[in-house]
Amino acid sequence: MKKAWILCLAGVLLLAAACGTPAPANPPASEGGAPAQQVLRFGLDVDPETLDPRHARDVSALRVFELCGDGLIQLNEKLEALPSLAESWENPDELTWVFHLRQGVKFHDGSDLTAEDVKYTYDTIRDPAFGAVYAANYASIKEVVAEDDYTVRFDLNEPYSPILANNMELTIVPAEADSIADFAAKPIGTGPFIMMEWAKNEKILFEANPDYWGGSPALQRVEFYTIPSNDTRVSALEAGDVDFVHTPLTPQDVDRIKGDARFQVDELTGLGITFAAFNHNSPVLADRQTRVGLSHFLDKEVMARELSQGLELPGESILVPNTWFYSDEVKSFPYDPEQGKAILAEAGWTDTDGDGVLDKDGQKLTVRLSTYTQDDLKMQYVEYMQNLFAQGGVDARVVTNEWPTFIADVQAGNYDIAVFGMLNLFDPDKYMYSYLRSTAGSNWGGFSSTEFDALVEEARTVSGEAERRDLYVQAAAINNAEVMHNVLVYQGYVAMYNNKIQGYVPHARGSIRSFQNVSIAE
Amino acid sequence: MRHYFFRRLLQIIPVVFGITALVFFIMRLIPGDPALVLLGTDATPEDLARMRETLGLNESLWTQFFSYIKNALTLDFGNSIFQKEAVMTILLRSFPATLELSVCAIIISLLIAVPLGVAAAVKRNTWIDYAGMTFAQLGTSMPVFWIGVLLIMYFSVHLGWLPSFGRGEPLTRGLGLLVTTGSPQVLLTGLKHILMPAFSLGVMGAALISRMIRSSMLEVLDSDYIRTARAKGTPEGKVVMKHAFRGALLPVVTTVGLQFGALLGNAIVTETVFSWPGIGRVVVTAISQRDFPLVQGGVILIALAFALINMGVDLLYAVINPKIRAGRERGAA
Repeated sequence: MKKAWILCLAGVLLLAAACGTPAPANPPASEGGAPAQQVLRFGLDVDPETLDPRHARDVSALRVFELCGDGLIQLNEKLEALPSLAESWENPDELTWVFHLRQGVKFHDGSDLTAEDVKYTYDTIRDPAFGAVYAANYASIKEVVAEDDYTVRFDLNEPYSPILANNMELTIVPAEADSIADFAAKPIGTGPFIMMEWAKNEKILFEANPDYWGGSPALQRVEFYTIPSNDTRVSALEAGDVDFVHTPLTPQDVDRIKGDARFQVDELTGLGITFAAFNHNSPVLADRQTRVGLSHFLDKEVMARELSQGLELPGESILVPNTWFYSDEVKSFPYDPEQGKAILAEAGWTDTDGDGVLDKDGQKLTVRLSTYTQDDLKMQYVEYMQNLFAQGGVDARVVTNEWPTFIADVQAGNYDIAVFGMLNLFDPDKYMYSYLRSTAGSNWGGFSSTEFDALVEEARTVSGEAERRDLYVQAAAINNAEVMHNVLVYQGYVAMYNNKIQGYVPHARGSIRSFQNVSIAE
Repeated sequence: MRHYFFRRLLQIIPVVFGITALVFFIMRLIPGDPALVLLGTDATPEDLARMRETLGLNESLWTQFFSYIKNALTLDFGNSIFQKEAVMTILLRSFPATLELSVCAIIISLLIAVPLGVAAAVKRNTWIDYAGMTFAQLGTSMPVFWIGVLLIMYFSVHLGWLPSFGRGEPLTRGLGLLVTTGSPQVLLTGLKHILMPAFSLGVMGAALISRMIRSSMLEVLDSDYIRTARAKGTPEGKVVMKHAFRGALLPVVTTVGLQFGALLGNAIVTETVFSWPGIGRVVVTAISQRDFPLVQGGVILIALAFALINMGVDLLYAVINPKIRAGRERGAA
């Protein structure tokens, strides 16, 4: 008994000592750092799943590769392709792309980058035996040929003009990657920072690559810390435990940090959208007029301004702002509940029995509004939509489930209106071709417009951006008129950081590639 | 005693097997397809079919179950679908962090609850009693995540005393270094990081345990043997701590044992608020992705820990109360 008390006492003393020591409350890796040290600590929301660029599918892994890897090209903030490992490229005919590699580029293990590494990266990701999740995204590539050490030729199965945005940013791995033990935990790339350590669910540490082909970075170290709670991540910024956080953030936190002179807040329209997918196979929604009538009930202004507190913008079409394919000509149906009611009345929906709910042929106008529980904002949108619909005399029922259940229901066609979203819209092809085309694998809503199909198929075969944009503008207008996916809001992107950070360029998709040019002021 | 110990150990086997079967079938009965979550929404039906085949999800449930059990018996719990790493490796990495957090939370609970409960009982119906029990009421009603956020706001953001997130260093490593090199630095880093998460997790336990100690002490303080001890002229301090407290300990041990199990579960919230790299976060993420092997492995491990703690509590009874020991030995013989 006496011993136990002594132990307890010792414990208390230790805890008191820990509490009382006025040492800086920094994570251990940055201890001993003088203030002038060029270290950037980054608050990450989710730990990556794997760091093999060919297997990775989460945004956190992308952030890692932006520091330690390079692709053949890189997309700038307007999504235009710039040279990276490839200094130049040409497209001699619609089935051939030739890339000329930069010479003298070295991997972090000291080996030279050659065409063989590029071929190996693309061969493995397309190999069914390798089991890469995104193998299907590379289906248009027939063969990759290393013509010489610094020339790679891609032969295609079919014309595929989105190839630069969709396929050519893939991080190149060394040809011996699969014989390197633990490559998926400690990838070797050619990027401006070398990955040193990954303590899972805790931190990922990088050191500057002095031999980087683009010049040695000013930062000596970059440290990622995984902080899953949005609140804690912002608190860590305020406490000085991290220097940089970005989307996802809670609107209230953004407002608070904006009022704090220690921090810089950058707000951009991001590359994501949130939409209401209308199920054309649902008995109630098969009729176009009913879909149009319902669309007039959607007050997107309030969703963006009040619910997201200005983090998101009211959506008009699937062509997101600040990109080469944006168009302000394509408009969605305006918020006008009276007109909505009139259109529904034309479609035969009237309140015959005076119970406040519209009906037709003895059947009530009932729709299910579904979304998933992991996203608070989408839950609020759906609840608000229920309210708007109810005011218009529509019996709307909210169905929320966690993501796997939600998406399995959507895939099985078991929904009326499903609210979800898309991120990283580098190129409209990915979205329009695989979700909205009549025969697309992910067309779960029974959309069928031969005109739409012809436009997005043609857009794959023409090359210039202006020509492709024209086709996508027409296709987006059809999507709006037919009410396939009704885009509710454009998602915003917010970066908040210590204003000692200099040289950072915000990027709508959250890219931190500009860290290679960042320095910390005294 | 040894007989009893082994019998209790054997009883764990059906419990863990039952849990394994339950979690295996429940995970597969709830809607959601790991192949779809893994491949994303733009996967074609052919890709999905191929991935299901690769993951072995095409086999009948029974075939999957038996091959799982067969492998599990050799401690092979498969690979995580999403992290492409052995489930065992992931669990062995994250479980010690949760265990460390739970143990520290229990220590903090006891450090608060024992003095509070004893004082409240001895000074019954005085302001000490009322203040103590008001704390206990507050402690049980404040949600862990809320305490956590408040602590971070005050001690990290406002005062800048404690780190706002992360584990820093494992305490065991810190202790090891303290013993071998005499340097307390690593241990202090670890302690600074664990203080707030352990406190916010421990408060609820402290509240429950102090109430249990108070009521249990009150009962004992009224009993004949305490009156006898006092009559013999034993000093009051000794009466309270040696005679009464020890007698009141039995129900308290039960509560602490249950509380410890509950901590393993509650740790999930604390781990998220304080970015603690424990098993709770791993399992919750795995559930939301339908990462079957990882969920199964995690639940089995937590169930095993729970069962072992319960067994420990039962054994402690015997240590504390010789009457129980004698009874069990007769029963076992």
